[in-house]
Amino acid sequence: MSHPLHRNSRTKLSKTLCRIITRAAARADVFAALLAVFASAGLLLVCRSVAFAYRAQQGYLTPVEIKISARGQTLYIVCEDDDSLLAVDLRSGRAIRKVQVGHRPKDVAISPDGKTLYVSNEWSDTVTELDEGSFTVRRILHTGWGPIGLTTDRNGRTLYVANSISDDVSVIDLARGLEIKRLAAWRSPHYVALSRNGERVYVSNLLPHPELPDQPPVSELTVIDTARQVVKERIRIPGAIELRHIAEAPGASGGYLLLPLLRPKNLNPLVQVAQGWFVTHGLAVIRPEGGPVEIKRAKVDELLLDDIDRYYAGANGVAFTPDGRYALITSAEAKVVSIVDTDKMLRLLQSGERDELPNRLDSAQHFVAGRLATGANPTSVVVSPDGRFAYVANRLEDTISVVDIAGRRIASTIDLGGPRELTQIRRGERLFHDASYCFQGQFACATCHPDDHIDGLAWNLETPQLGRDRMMNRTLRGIAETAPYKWNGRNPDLQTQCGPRTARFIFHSEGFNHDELEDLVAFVKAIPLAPNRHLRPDGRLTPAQERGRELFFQKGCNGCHTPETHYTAKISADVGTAARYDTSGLFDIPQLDRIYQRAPYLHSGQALSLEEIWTRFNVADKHAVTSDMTKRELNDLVEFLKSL
Amino acid sequence: MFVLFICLPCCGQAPIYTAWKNYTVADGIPDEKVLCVAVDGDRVWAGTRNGVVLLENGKMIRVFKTEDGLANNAVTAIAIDRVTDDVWMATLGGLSRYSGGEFRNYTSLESGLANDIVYSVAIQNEYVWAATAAGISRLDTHTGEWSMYDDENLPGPASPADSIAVTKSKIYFGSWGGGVLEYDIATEHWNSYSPSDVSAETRAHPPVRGPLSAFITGISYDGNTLWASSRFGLSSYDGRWWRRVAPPAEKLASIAVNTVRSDAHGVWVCSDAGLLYLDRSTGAWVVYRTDPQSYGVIAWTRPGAKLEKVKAATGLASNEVLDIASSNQSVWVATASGLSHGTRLCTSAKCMSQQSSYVPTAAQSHFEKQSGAPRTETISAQDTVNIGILSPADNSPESIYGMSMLQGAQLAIEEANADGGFAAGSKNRKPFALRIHTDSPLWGASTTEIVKMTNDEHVFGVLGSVDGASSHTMLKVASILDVPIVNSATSDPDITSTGLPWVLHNFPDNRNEAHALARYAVANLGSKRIGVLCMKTRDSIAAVHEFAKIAARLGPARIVETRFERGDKDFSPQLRKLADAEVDVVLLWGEPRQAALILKQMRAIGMQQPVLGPSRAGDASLIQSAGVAAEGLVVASAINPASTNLRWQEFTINYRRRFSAIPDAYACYGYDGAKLLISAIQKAGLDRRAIRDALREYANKDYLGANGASHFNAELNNISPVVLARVEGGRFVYWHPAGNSSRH
Repeated sequence: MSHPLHRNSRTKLSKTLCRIITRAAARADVFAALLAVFASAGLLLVCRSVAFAYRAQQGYLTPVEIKISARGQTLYIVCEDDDSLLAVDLRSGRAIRKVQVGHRPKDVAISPDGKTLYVSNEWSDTVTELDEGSFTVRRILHTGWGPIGLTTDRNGRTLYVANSISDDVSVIDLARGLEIKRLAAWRSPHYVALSRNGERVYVSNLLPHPELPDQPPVSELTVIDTARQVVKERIRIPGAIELRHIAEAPGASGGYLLLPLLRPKNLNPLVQVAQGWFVTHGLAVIRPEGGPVEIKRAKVDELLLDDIDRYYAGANGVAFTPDGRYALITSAEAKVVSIVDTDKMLRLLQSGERDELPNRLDSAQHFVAGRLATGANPTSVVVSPDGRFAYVANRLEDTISVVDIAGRRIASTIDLGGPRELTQIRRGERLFHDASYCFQGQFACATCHPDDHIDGLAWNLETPQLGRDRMMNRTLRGIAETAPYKWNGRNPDLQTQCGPRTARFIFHSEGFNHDELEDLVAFVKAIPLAPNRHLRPDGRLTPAQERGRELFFQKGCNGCHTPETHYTAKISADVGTAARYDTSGLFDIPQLDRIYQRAPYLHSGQALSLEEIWTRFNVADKHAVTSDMTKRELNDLVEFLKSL
Repeated sequence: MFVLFICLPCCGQAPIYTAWKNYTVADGIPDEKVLCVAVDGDRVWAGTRNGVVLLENGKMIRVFKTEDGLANNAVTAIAIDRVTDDVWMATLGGLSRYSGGEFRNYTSLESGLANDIVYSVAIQNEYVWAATAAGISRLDTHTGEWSMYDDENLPGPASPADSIAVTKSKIYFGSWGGGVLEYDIATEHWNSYSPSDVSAETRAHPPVRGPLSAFITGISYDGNTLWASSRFGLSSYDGRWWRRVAPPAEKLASIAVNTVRSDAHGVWVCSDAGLLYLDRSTGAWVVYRTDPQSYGVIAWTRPGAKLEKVKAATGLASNEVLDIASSNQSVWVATASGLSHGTRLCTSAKCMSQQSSYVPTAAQSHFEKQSGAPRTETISAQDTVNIGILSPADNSPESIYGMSMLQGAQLAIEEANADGGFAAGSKNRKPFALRIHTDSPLWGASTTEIVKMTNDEHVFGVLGSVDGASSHTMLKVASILDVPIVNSATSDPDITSTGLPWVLHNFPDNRNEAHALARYAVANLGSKRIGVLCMKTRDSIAAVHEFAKIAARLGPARIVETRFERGDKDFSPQLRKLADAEVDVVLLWGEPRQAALILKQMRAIGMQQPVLGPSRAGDASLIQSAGVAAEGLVVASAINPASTNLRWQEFTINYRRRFSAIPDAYACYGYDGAKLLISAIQKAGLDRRAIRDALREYANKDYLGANGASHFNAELNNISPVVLARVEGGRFVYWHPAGNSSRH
């Protein structure tokens, strides 16, 4: 069995681009012609000034998401670093189209009639509506903050968009092009899926519910009733975080949902990494129920994709074959796509060991039919309508792996034309997403820092006094100039933070060599901050923020949170926040940039909101004298902090 | 068996509901007192003191409590977001959002919510408005931003908000003490409507006619008219004029209205004496009451027509109606004894037959006997009869009063227990126990203390507090939870002016003091120009206003008023203003520490005018701090410590023996207050409504306390005259001013 696009498709691609140039010139389609010129020169990228400048300058496409047309003729590929959408015609294997969209596109939805495409632009807070025929922009739709996953309803009248920053779902009336309502999701909603019967939209939330740091995490799948356009149910998924893509099995196969997830053991000391079974990766199998949610709740099972001595980190994309017999799941940090025999999986769930499965490492062997190596960072997968092929977007390789499902093999690889040369930052980014550096491949840097950010958990680090010093995960966004690192402030630079220390105490492996470490550090330093949504477009502060700013200086907050250095004095301080099992009260003063995206707060994650930092955890007035503040003043201070 | 006697006449478009089904504790309602109700299609949400219940198509689906994620079991209001279907619940422990089967809570410690005592909630597009004990909060659900509206940015005096009505262009808030507040959505401008110029701020402007009372219990807008209810009746506002709306007296035994709700044709009035409906177009009234003997009484009239009544087979669960929500063909009514569902009059013979054959359940026929006392199992599990006290005994500028008040109450409790405690000599004998809670202003924490006392400690009455705002919040919450309050320390004159029957106030309020001081200033000193230095607190401002009114009545005295913040240390701007105005006497309404500073700064710049002050300032610490500057200061005093009364002598000896201190007024009234409450509990037993009624027996009667006789008016306010004291030779010298009678 062979696929229309073979492994060495680059030559054919060049020929195709030449044809595009000719056709485009004939139609005086200047944009397409220019695009093709760049592409034929190996620069399949139209550089533009974007906030994510370093990535754009590198010229990579970074295909983060992939969808396939209803008839299986076209692949639509969202290129995150290129601010573009690509179309690959699978029938002929000859045509590639491209259109520029907003900043940092993340997902694409296809209208039911296939004539319209919708691309979410995470950093523009918009959706680009495209005409599929001309592959041109039709209009821009405005959403909440940080749109990622999106889908239309069954008749194409309504668009649902998951807003990862504002933690809600925009419901957009497509006839008017207007957002008509916002439905509350939970934390960092990422991907959405329309149920096969069109009655529900499922929304996965990447981050767990904000719980106390000594509690196991609970994540949520938000269910929207499309008839009434309201939240119908919030399905709790215990012990899990980082819910990603969602796939629904055909009705004949059970109609259940599959969601890749991560099951962390963050309450255990990190030393247990060496014993395995610390960070595990798996699936939620969910069977939604009808009727009032107050009476019937969805049934949730979890099982692991990992084997006893090998882990498949970064479970991310998922897709069923048309008959529901198999499901394909990408493990982004293990660079693997697993083929799950769903019949066997369901039989296992019906066994008496069902309750143990979320923690059984010996179960995957019973239902995983095959594991295939992909390119770097496979994030998304789709299956052709005939069920013969699956297509995997290799995000950090600018390629698509074509999976021959029946043959259990990678049939070919589609090269999307990104630069062949790997820059230092790109090498570092691959390392960041590579779990092979960890003992038995349990996790990569990206596992606990999804989207280069946080996982919302406090971890029980490996310290001399084992079991103590539970520390909140810290963001990696915008940290280049915020040294020292780590909550105890003992790592003077990122080389120390990410080098032997990480190898010994976190990965429990040999870690990165010198060159790799430099590459990784270069990448981490290049991770930018997201745009601040709490600032007015003109950058002026609101009256409340202005009042809060005055308080910030009046209370002397700027003494430790120095504005000139990202609101950190780069030293440690004891502000009376030591928890019961902390061995020291001195903690690194955190930078405050985009603090509103980093809940929970304080070193231990005790403060579930910014307000709690002062209302609950500043009883001795050591974190500035705040007990004389009125509630109004505290609200103003919080509003100012959100503006940073 | 009762039947509908006659064919009910047409009362305009006023609906007549003749068939009532009552849901009570016996049916699974978590508490007999249903505080609020909201209808969402086939679903009905009813908030009680002990959780919220969900019904669907008339069947109980589920009860939600704190263990299910609800912020607090006492749910005071429910708003349904018709766009998202989210259900927002105001509770006595924060704001809850029910969405997709899960709760998410917003509290003052975890979010920007002004206060955890939330009386009402309303939806305006993406904004959620919450009326709290510390003002109004608005949440922008898109951005997460909270906005606060309180005494800093609202017109009129600082007031907690009670109820909300949203219109297309304006939002109205019923406030607790400040009348009706109006928010213009387009301009973001605020306006207020108050029955009188209750503060000095409004005195500067022409008085605005407003609702009947400054204490609003409910507000509703029907598209044309705004309706505002209070415990003193119903008012309407057509955009230009406020009017009193009063049905003929015979239709209502009481005009105490708990809330008001309008629909397309008229307005529902939820009162202590039944449910009323006013048809807007015809002026017809329909009254629903329940007679313990005959189950249902429906009365109606139209302008110029006689009152007519019929008996119905079924009626409301209780005449104490707290809320109502109407749907197409039925109404759901929250009452003090359960949830009632009324369906509209049907005309077919079969339907009438079914109605007349309805047999009330046992629970329904006994509804009038139910009360707000804790459940039986709770009482029997307790080893003590608990009495709560909320006092600023620690970490507060008012600690000097709070500690005295606490010690006075402790002494009374100990004496009662020495005499055998509750039900002495019987097998039900139990000691009294004082459950002490600190009235700390930090983050508004103290406001929820009475909720904890009631829910966790099952108190049978509460003593306190000193601060006027705290005391009002206590009273409002007490009326929701059915807890009698004896306030022995606040000088806020409005504490018994709200119409809520749950408080006895035995501390002379500052209107008494203002009266004595005004008379002294005008009649004794002959003042013509009086300078006022007033601390910016609710009760101080109200007291000074009262002083000005009385001074104006007694003689043509000009008032020059300045204010200061609690914590200020430099008063030169205010003093300069008074000096420039050449005032001949100064009224200094503040607390000892600041009063001492003011006196010293006054004398230092050569102001030698006589100075008058309230009892709050009359503490020995003032003399100590001010030194010679205090000489000649005249203050009001709630007690005469030099009294030779034997009761006072005995109390002083006992107090000094117990606490090694000399009792002051707060100790004295704290002692008296605790004894009053203990006496009511002994008399009424462990039933909080009965205890309330026992306290109400003091209306228009004297009570012989430790420092002499107190006289309670009909509102249970101690209106006994105060004494005056002058600083002479470094000590207070007391005297009873001549002609000082109470304001009543």
